[in-house]
Amino acid sequence: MRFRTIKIVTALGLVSVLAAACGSSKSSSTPTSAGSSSSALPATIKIGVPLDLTGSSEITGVGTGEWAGVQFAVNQINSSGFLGTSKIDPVMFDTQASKTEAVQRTVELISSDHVSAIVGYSLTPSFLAAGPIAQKDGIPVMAVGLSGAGVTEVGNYIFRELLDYTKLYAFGDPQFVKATHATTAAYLYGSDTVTTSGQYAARRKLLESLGVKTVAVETITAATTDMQAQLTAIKDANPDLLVVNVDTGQVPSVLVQLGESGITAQYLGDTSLGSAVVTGNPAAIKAAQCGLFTTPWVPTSTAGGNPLFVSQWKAANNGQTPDFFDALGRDAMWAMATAIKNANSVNPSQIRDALSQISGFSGALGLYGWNNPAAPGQPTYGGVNEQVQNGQDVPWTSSTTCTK
Amino acid sequence: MLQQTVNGIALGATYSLLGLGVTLIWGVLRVLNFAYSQFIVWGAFGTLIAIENHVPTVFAVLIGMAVAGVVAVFVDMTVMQFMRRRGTSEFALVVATIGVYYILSSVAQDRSKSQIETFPIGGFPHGSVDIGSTSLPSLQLLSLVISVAVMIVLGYWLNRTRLGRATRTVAYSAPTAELLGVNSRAIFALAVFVSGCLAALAGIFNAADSSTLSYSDGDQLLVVAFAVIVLGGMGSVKGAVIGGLALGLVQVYTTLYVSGVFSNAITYLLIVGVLIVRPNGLFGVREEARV
Amino acid sequence: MFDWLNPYTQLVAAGILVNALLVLSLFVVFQCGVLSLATIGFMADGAYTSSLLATKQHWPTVPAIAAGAVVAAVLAYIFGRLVLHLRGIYLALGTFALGQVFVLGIANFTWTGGPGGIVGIPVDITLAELVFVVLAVGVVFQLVHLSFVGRALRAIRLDERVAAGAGINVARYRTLAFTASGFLAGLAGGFEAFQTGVISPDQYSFVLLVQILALAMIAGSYLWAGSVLTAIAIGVAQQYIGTTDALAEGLLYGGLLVVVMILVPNGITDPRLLRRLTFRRLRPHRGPSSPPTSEASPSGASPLVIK
Repeated sequence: MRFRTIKIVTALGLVSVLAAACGSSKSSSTPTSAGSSSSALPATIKIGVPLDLTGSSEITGVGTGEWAGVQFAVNQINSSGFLGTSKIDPVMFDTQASKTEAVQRTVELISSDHVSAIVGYSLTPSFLAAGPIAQKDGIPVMAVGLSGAGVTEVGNYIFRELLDYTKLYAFGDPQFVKATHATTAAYLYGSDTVTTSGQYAARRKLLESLGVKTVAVETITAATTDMQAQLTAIKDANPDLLVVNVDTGQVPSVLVQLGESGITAQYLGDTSLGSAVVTGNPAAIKAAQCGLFTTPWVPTSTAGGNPLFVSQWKAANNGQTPDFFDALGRDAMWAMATAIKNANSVNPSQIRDALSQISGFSGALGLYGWNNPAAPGQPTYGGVNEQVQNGQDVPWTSSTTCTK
Repeated sequence: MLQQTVNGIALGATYSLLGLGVTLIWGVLRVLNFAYSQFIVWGAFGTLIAIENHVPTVFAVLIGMAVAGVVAVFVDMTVMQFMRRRGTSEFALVVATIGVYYILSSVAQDRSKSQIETFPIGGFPHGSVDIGSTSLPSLQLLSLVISVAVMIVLGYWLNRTRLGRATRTVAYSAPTAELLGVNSRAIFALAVFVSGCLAALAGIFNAADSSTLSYSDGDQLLVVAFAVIVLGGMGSVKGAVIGGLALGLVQVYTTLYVSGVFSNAITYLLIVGVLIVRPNGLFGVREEARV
Repeated sequence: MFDWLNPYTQLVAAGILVNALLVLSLFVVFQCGVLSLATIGFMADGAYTSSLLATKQHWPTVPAIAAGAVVAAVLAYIFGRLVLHLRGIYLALGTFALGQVFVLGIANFTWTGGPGGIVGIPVDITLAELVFVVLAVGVVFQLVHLSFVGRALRAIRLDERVAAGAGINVARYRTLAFTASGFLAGLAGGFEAFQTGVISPDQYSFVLLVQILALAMIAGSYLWAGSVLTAIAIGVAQQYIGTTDALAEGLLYGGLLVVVMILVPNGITDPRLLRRLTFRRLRPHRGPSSPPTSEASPSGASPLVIK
């Protein structure tokens, strides 16, 4: 049993070496082949991984998924000899969705553990507190899974691997409006988090610029469990579209109560429609029938290194399909390793420079990089449109039909 | 408008259940119990685990109620009873319940890994009952029926039965009750068990309404329960039901006419406001100062 | 002054001292028999006032923090007059809701930054400054403790009616203590904001209240130094225990609260406990310990209201 595991890991390692060699060294200044040792690198390379694993309901599945993805990547990188004889040593802290914790741990990582780089942060507030410290001390950060605005604005040492979601909406929503001929919209959003309220504001502005009139705006907070009042108000406004941006953990409640409410408006959601919290909840996914959303990643995506990632993940996790956050954790750590390899150094500023030159990175999110001079620190992939049909997320085009 | 009033009543139905449990412990034990929030959660988790193990929903609900009841009795027999015997102050009791809350909450958080669990709602009533142009979700109708029934049963129990009179004697003075041959420990345990069951019931309805369950679901519900008993008058059974319905209506009207943003803040404002204006609640009887 | 400590240690030390200020803010009201659960709300008031002044009005750090503490004190004075006439549990509940109203209010205004809070607060408070402030607060506490004000406050805790009979204006002293509590919490909030550089409403949580409450209850309501030392001792102990997860933290603080309430409901600085420990006069202790409020024990009570 043990032997088989080792074999699988070795096989995976070899495959990932090939993948990495093919995909990610386009901009590499030292195109060494994957197995050879690079003498400038120390035996262990410490990388800080501060993530919000526990603490608030907003982090459901986020931090734990990202940590699983990061560990997966570290195993691949170390066992494949991607960095020669050097090994990555991830220093992990659970920052408990607390800003104070995020700040203290980041200072600890930099001043006590002397990490070369940071791959971490789960919630935007944790990052906003801790990011400036890393920037000030010149430690490159690959921010994992932050969907809010204002991340790369912190400084030139900050990189993000998840698009600011408003960019996703700018991609998908105009297509949805055109296909549905919608002229009115109602909004339901979580007013107590910066992420969801920011997404609502951006989306409303976007839709209004497309000529979609706002007929109702309703809010919920993390404490809201029953939304009949909001849903009745929306029903009375009779909109064509219902645009929902709430915490992932609350999406099942919204969907289930929506299903009972008799609202027929077309549901425009967010990536949470593809998350395990929703897809694993039979009542919620049933109520989400025909819901539309735009996402940077779906398990079935064939872009970049995703098919390889999905098959490797399944092999390593008893056939389980990876989720979005696993993919995010995996890509973030691989991107950092690629930068370290390209820099052939653990000097933070050289890693930073290497990160900003990565292109053609073969990740789970597609074939992308961070080398767009117009948007420094931001990834260069786009999004895909998806629709929930009979409990599954299927690719959506303007000719896709769906019956409730 | 009419529909929104119905929504408010539906929302208030679960709140009434919450208030009934807290008012019972307050009335009998004179304890403001912060751990109540975790009785809600543990009860709902008990039901969730039972459903996941293919126990029919009705029995799963009973199991959840029993779990919360037992946890409540356990806490009372270990921590509270010990403190009561030593004649510890009211404040110390409140603080101890906060400690118990924190322990139970962190265990639930650890066991559920801080995740939001799916609460299967297949076995619960769904759809809604239409009355004219308005519709009332079946689930809330059921919780309304249950809370009114519980109110009647509790009222009957406390006022009309021998056991109930014994309970009230214990609430008045445990030593006096002991002298009269009443087993005050058994009465405390019974009251605590029933209040734990009611907590679980409220938690289960809440979980079924949202089809999710997390370790922190009880926190907001506890505040709601406090608001309900402040509105209805602490220790008043009828007040708990009326207070619950009133709070539901206030929250819905706030959402409707002001903004959903404030439906949460209004709960706390109500607590402060009512305490300042009428410390014994809108339906409570004035208590004499206890010296 | 503390440059020889590495930045992480400095940050942790500062966090512990902020906690000490919060514990003192609870201590000052416990002293006169008031259980206030509003401290975290006043902390938020102080943090937001000082941060808004610094980021929007470009006030220097020290006046901004001072202003934050004063605003928290003024709010405590205004609302203290409203809720302090409540007794016992009603007072605890009233202060709890009051604290939450402040936090939720802050979260729902746009000029406070809403749920996102405030970023870019200058991080320029040194550990030395914080040590100085805590020492200064300690000196004030010691002076008050020795003065007639301190005696009056303690008399109110022991028996409100007797105190009133002795000519002590109970309401005025309680309001004074509540105002001081607001001031200290506001001060702590300001210092914390200028340590982390970012604040948002969600950090002023019930869990934080529970942790501070645990420290305050362990320390008891007799010696201010006990509060500071307890905050420091447990803060340092936690560093030695190492990385704690939510479960360990819950069991630690929750367990401490329960155990302390059962064994030493008046805290470890209870004079009678200290005397017993020093003179080894261990006799069976059965009778009711003196309650920190004027309320009678829970069982000897008024009739249950049922109708």
